[in-house]
Amino acid sequence: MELKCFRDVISDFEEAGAQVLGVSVDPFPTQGAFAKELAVNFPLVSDWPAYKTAKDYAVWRASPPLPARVTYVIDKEGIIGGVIESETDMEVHSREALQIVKELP
Amino acid sequence: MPLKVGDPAPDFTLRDANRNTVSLADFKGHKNVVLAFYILAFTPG
Repeated sequence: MELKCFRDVISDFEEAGAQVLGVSVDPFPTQGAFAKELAVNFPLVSDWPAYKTAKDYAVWRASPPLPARVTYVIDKEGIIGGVIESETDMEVHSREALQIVKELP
Repeated sequence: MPLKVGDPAPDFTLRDANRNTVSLADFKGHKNVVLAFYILAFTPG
């Protein structure tokens, strides 16, 4: 899953001056256990219960009621610098996000 | 449809498992942010 891929290259993101955040729709207890199990080394934040962020970022799907697997790169000025969408290739999220981050000013 | 490159990123304030809040505004002006939406924890893949 894509979080493992981010975890494995997190130092590259840090060097590039980027903060990685994982956004789930899980309630807090599930998410905490999950973070521990994966040994994720970046913040996992919860969009539960309103799913407002997923809706604001247009990744919400009504059926099934889950967010799409989308990764956004946001530059220092708050402008979207990259959008990565893939349901099947989990590694592409971290690889492309890192590439985009490195190319940002 | 997801947002596009060049769109302003909507602000957000979310909490982690320790109830710490994280906002997009926290990083403005000094850090790029990678926001990875992922599907429920115990789904395969």
